[in-house]
Formats: sequence, structure tokens, C-alpha cells
Amino acid sequence: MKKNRQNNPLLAVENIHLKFGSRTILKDVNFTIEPGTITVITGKSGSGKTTLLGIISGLLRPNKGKVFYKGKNILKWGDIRRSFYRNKRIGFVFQFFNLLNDYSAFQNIILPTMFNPFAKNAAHHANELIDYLNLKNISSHHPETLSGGERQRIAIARAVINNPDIILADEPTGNLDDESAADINSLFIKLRKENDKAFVIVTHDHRIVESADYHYHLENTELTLQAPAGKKKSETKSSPKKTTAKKVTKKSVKKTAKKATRK
Amino acid sequence: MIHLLRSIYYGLRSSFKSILTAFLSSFGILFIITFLIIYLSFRTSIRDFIDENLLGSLEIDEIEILPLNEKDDNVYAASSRQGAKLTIDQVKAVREMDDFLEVYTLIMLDYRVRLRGEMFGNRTSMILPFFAIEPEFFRNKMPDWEQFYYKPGRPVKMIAPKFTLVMLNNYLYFNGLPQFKIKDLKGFPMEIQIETKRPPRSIPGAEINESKDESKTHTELEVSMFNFTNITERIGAIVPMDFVTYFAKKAEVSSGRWKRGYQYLQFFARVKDIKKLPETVDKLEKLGLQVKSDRGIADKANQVMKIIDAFSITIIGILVLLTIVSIFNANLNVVYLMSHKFSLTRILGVTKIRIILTFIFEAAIVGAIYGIIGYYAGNYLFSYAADYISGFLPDIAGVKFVAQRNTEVFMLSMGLSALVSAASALVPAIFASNINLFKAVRR
Repeated sequence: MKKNRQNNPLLAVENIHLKFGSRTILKDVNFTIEPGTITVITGKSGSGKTTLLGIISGLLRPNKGKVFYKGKNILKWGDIRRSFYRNKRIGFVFQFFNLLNDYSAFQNIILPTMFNPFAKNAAHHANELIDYLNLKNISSHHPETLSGGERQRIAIARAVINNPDIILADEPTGNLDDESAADINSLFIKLRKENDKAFVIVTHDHRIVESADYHYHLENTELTLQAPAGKKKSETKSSPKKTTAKKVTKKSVKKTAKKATRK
Repeated sequence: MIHLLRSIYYGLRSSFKSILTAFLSSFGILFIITFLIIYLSFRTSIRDFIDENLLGSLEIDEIEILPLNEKDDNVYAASSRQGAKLTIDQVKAVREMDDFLEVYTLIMLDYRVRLRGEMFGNRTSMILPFFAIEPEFFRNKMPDWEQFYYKPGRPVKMIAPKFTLVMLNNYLYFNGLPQFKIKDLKGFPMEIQIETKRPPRSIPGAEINESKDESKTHTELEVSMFNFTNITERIGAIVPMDFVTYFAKKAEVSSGRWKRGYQYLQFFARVKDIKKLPETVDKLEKLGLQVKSDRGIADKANQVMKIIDAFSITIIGILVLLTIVSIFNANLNVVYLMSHKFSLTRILGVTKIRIILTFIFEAAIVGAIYGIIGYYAGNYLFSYAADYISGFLPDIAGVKFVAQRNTEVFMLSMGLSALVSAASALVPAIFASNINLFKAVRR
């Protein structure tokens, strides 16, 4: 049974403009992210996809626009609150894994909890994740001794250790062979289904694009909604086109966020 | 709780690895602290030498109080009866002041005195002022000061200016004769002839001769050399105070009318509180007196040391600045090399302030460790070099070089080193917290 999630955006990006010097990177970008969905962003290299992830995570500040997380504009928060938001609400997966070679797989997985000394049952949760992602045999290994697919699974475990609402992935399969890439794609789908996580994935991998609920394309500074491969645009899960800046007002976002909180 | 301990463990482990890197980048601090310790040890040794050997003889709480019209450049006039004298009112006023711990009065016998002596067959005589001062004045200045008194019938003890010994030895040297030390001349016999208008009342051991026209009387007494001193610049001999007052009393009516027989020349006084010296000087000046103080010399010596210190501090400051710049540069390199880790931790939820504080804390730890090493290295090197310094620099051969081993210097070297290291890490730490995160993690 599919819920109508359109009225409950977990995250809403509203009217984002970003310039680096005289070069416009993003212009009037609007979209929403809902729980339990996979949103894919494609585009040429240097088009601003990763920059957009930086804005969503609160690491980069746009020249103009707002980013609402559960109705609250994260761009108005200070560094400490935004850091907490990244630690607790956002998980990151990168193309080059970005694991620390000094640490074992287990230590890498548990790393985000280290920045929150009051996190509860972190080791227990990490062991559960290791079982869930079939990493038991390699949990004591150091990343440099592992394959790309194994490293990326560790990176995914690290991304979800704090049970975040949103996982931002930047070319997660870009450095993997076909088989490993397929595994990772399956893992994303599994996590979305079983844990109700929202994924925002910057990718060129057609398999991920095909399995996505929303597909956006970033070109010439503008973000446009695409129909996923094999589907017509009208067959997409919802009509995010309607979730433009005009529709996703601050008031409506707050209202839906309240509902989501009550739920 | 276990998680908290684990977090601390990972934090320390991470810091330990960073500290090892920082150790290499902050190596310059070791040199600056070592240099600082050597400089401090050298400075303190020189300072102690100056205090003990150059300023040690000066009692800075001791002042000379003189008549206002005393002329410094007319030494003989100042010593003779023509020089300025203190009035009785001034003497009383000074003695009544409660600013002083001790007051000693220099007086001068108010009669013409001729000193006669014979050495190596040469007989010589000269007219010389005869001064007197309380024997307690020589306490701490002369070992046998308590013997400096007059006993009627015995030779009058006399203290001569030290320069006379120098002149005598010069004379002996150029005539191929052996030179004298103070102890050789102690007890050396001479005689004095005091001229009065009429004979004084009887004085045991004195021979009184009247001139042919009976207008003058000469009282002849034996004297013996007691010691030499340079406490006064006045040309003249010092005899016991009780001799001068004794003779003056015996001769007070010798001129047909009462005469005190001696004059007040100056005071030597020790002030109770050196900090209140300016107020004391004001009071004395209002009495028509002037004050000479060794404090001025000590102040000047201190001023010279301050100038040397200021110069040295400037040099050290420049070195510290250069060290900060070089460590800053090395730290920037560290930030570049560790940019991946910094970026990743920022993405995973570490705050900017935590990165800055961690970086500075690590740098301060490294600095403190270098401070401790520098303290011991500086002391060791100084102690080692101390044996050879005099050989290289004969001008300071008398200086006793002592390494600076004390808690204050230890804390100073550790604190300064930690501060320098932390200061040089501040800007790189801010850079580290502001790295272009996505760019860094995509490398």
C-alpha cells in the first residue's frame, strides 16, 4: 500500500541559487525528498550535482534559497546544530569510499558515533549492521586490504550507523565493477524498503536510475524532473513537478512536518 | 559509559597520531626554548656577577647628606675649613628626622694640623684636614672597627684615604723599593702637630710647644696607622670621634673665647624605607641640604640591564615570530596532508570549533613537550659550555656561570613553548575547519 507522501516532505529545497565568482552553478533549484524514496540526480561532470548534496547537508551555503528539514530551515542554523544534523540525520556514501585506513572496518563503521559521546548501544548497533550487511568476515580488516565492493558496504554501514533519515550518495558505484555495483544498488533498495530511508543519489549508473523513484537531471544550472527509464513521466511515483517553490511554501512545509512529527 | 570511554580512546589515539606528525613540524620550537634557557642562564650569571662585584659594595639605602653649597669640583675646599659646613640647626633637624635607621656625622677638627712621618730615611710633613666619624659607621666596612677609639696617653689611631697607599706604592715602585699592603702599614708610627693660639689643658702623652712670639702653640701627639678607606672622597685623615671631641674640649678656651673646636661637614645615613627616599630628599632639600645616593648608580646599572633585556627580548621576539611563521608553514602542510581526514570528520558531524580546539590542543601539547626538552637541553648545553666560556671570553673570566634550574624557568619554557606552538597552529586550524569538504573527500 503506497502512501501519498507528497504532503510530508522530509526535506525541501527551495529556490536555490549558487554562484562561484561570476559562474552560476545552480539557479532556481527546487525539489523535495520524501521518506522511503530514492531520488537520483544525473548530469554532466561539473554541473553542480555534488555541490547540491553539499547544500542539502548544510556544508555549503547557497547565495539564495532555503533548505527545509522537517519544516526547519537548516541554513539558519549555526555550525554546531548543522554538524549535529549531519551526524544524526544524514548519512554519506562517496565514490571513493573515504574510509580511514588507520582504522579497522568495525572502527570505521562506528566512527560517526564517536562524535556523539552520548550515543547509546553504538557497538551493539554496529554489530547488528555488520550482520545485516554480511560484513562479519571483514569487520576486523583494514580498508586497504578489502575490495571496492566491500569497502563501499562498510561505507554504507557507516552512513546508517546513526540511523539517519536521509542518505546522500555521490557516485556510489562509480568506482566499482558491474557485479559490485549491482550489489550496492540492491542494498540501497533493501535499505529503502526495510528501513524507510530516503536516498539522494548522484550517479550515472543506469541501474540505479532505473530503480529510482525520482530522477532529476541537472544541466545548465537548472534541475529538471525526468521520467525514469522504462517509465513514462506520468508514471513516476508522485508528481514532484508540483513541489516547486511556489507550492512548497514554508507554511506548508511546517504543516506537513508537524504531521510527520505526530505520526 | 563504555561508549564514552571508547570515544575518549579513539580521540586520544587519533590525537596521538596527529601529535607525532606535529612533532616533526614543530621541531623549531626546541631551538628557541633551548636558546631562551641558555640566554636566561647567561643573563642571570652576568647579572649576579654585576650585583656581587660591581654593585655589591654599594649600600643603596645609604645616603650622604651635604650642605647645599658644597662644590663637588673643589675637593680641597670641601675638605678644608673654607668648604661649606652644616649649621647646628641643620644638624639638629637631621638628627630629629625619623626617616633614618642610622645617622653618622662627619666632623672636622677646626684647628690646623700638620702630619709628620719618616720612611726609608726621608722625613716629610704636610698640613692635612683631620676628620672624625662614629666608629659604628665602619661596622660591616672594616673588620676591626670596634678598636677605632682614642685612649689618652696612647697614639691616636688614624685612617688614611686609600689613594694615598696607591700613591705611596707608585713612589716606591719607581724608586725600586718594595711595595706595601694595608696590613704592612697597620700600626705605622707618625706624629701630628695641632696648632692652637694658646696651649690646651693637659693631654697625656702630648708635648706642647709654644712659638717664640707666644702667638701659637703646637700640641704634638703620636699617631699610628689604623687602616685605609675610600668611603669619603675628601682629602684628609680620619681619627676617632672621641679624640676630636676630647681635644676640642681641652682646647675650647685656648683662643681666649669659647670655641667648639670642630665643624660638621656631612652626614652618612641609612634610610628606613628606600621607596620613600624621594620624600626624604624633599625634606632634606627644604633644610638647605643636598643628597648623594648610590641608589642612582644602582638605578643606572638596572637601567643598563633593562636596555640589554629589552634588546634581548626584541631579538627573542623576532626569533619567536620567525618560529611561529615557520611552524605555521609546516602546520599548513600538515593541514593539507590531513585535509581528507578533517573533511571527512566534518562531513560526519564534527563541528568547526572542535577541529580548531583539537588542532590547537595537539599543538600546545607538542609545544609543552618541546618546552620540557628545551629546558633540559638548554641547561645541559649551558652547563657544558660554562667550562669553556671564560676561555673564549677573557673579559668575563670572573663570572660564575650557573644554569637556570628552577620551577619558574621550567614553567616559563613549557608555557612559552606551548603558547608559541598553539599560536602557530591557530590559523592552520581555522583553515582545517574551513576546507572545501567535497573537493577534499573526492581526491
